Amino acid sequence: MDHSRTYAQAIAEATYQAMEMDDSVFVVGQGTRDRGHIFGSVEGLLARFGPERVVEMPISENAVAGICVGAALSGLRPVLVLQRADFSFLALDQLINHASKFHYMFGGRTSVPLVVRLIVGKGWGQGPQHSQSLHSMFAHFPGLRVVAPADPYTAKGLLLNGIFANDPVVILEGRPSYGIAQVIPAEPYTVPFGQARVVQEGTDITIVAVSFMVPEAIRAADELGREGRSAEVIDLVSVNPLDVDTIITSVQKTGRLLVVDTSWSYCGISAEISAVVHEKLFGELQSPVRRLTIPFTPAPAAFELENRYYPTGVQIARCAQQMICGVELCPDRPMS
Amino acid sequence: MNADKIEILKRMVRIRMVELYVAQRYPEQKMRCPTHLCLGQEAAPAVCGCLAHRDDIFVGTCRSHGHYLAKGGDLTALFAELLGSGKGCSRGLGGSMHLIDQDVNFWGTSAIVGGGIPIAAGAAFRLRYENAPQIVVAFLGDAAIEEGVVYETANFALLHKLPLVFICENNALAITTPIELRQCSTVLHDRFQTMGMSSFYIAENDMAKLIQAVRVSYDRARSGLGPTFIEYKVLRWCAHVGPVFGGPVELWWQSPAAASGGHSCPICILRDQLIAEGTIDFEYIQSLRQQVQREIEEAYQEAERDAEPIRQDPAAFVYASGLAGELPGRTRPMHDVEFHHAEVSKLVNAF
Repeated sequence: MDHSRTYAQAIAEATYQAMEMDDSVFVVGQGTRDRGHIFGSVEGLLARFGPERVVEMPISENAVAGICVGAALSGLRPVLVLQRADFSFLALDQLINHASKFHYMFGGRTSVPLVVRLIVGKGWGQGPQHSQSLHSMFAHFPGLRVVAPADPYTAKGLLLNGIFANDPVVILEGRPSYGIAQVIPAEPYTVPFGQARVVQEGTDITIVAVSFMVPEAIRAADELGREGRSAEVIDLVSVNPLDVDTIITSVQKTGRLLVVDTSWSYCGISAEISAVVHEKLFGELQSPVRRLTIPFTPAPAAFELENRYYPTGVQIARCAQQMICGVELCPDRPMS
Repeated sequence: MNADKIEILKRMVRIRMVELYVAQRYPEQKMRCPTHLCLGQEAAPAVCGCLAHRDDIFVGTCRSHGHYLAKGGDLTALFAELLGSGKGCSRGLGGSMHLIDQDVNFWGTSAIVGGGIPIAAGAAFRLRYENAPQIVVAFLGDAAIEEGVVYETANFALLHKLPLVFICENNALAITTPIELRQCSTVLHDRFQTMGMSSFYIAENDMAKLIQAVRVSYDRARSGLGPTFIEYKVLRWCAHVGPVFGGPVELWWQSPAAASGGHSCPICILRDQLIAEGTIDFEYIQSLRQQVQREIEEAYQEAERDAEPIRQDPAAFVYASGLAGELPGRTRPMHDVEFHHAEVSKLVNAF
């Protein structure tokens, strides 16, 4: 029978299997006893592993992050879950000043095998403090691995990879992705860091999408296909390190790059990708790199405003068409 | 008991002399990193270090030469670190503020005020997780009490009955700002008492009470009774950072009769007590001084002789492991998880 799992279940399954394989793995988070099981992502863990290994945290993000650092220095493998990525700002001293630097600043004598799972809210009016996609910020700091899986297969594999790597890992999980179901291997497996995923091949344009923009990019590619255009869709997956090779190889083929991000373009990963492509492929590009991201404002709560806030498949397709045709030849026009 | 006191005296003397030596050589500008000396503050490190077991864990601060040495940290590696040498305890990548010696379970220091505190609690969490018999000692200053993370950690440590001892060396200074300008109360320990933590207040240079408090706190932690907070009032005789110092740093090796002012020096106080009890004599002090001086000079010469920056590209130390993690061999059969709650989104067909 096919082993179908939602994104949330894939995460719970990966954690469960990691805890089965290694007693040093434990989970700490807020809401581990709640019947919602942190949107289902820790379901089954408490019943199987008990309160010693599924630790309910006080609302003390920085202390708990530091306790995870100390536990990780001791050889445990903590998985810290914050229900909203926004709460990680309260823990940045421990995550940035400590976790990301300990291996370096003590000359490699110590390491911090820590996984931080951050859930990025979207939908149902999450608003300014519950919707921030912080992958670009975390990617700015050496010493962290930063990933943003878009589908259940990648979510499970990256989590297992992160738990058994020896560095601090920040995983940004899109709340809109939680319900996506996919047939995945039942057995534990790993997906390495630093690898983007070519979701579908194409020849006219490369669309690099981050996290829950991947399904939108796929919709755009379908739309473009109906219009006789061939788009290559790449799921970025790994924000630090960046899979430069996969992106460059693709853009060399297509000559065009559109980056679609769940976060702001200003000083964001879309700017970094654009810079890298311009540095490496200047003169080979058939149009300037373009970026389609959220506007440079906090996220609004109102339903209609929030809907307009995020790029959609239609907008991505329109932008891609403009790049392929040249803006002048192909002015904005309504699309289905 | 007296054997402990002699050992404490020796460790205080060693810390004092190392700090004076650093201050003396610092103007040569070979040690080029911010260096926070602990002159005047030797007692807490020495007492905590002496009464701890080798496998107990210490976590320190930016002012931790004393804590490092008291735990048994390697002296040559300390000097080498200050000199930026690849042979330093942190290979020259950390400097004075980032010391580590895992052979003696000195686990590192943070240059962020209060930064080491939750990390110490995390180390204690692991000990409790594994029912290990050791304890953790977390050093902090009075300024750390102004950081929220300390209260957050105290709460967690109490909640989980962690084998942890907080040692707050209250020198009443944050760089140069007096505590009166920073805190609602200049007494610190009692606010942890209201959280339910046992605490001690030790007046300046009350060596006997300090020793007693540390002993009791260690026993409590070892017996599963949870964390204890010790506030120890101290005088910092040096500038916040750098080789500038005052105070009676040299009195301890002079004849007690000749030197007045020893009442504010923890070394003099313990020395006089031990002499009065007949445990040691003044000759002992003289030979201790010579012996430690010799050790320091030899260690510094060795560190200086080999003081070259690390040869490897420091970038090699950013990450501990590669991009691909390795799953551990499975020892037990894998059970399937049963999921009862599932929201399946409309995006299913997108994949």
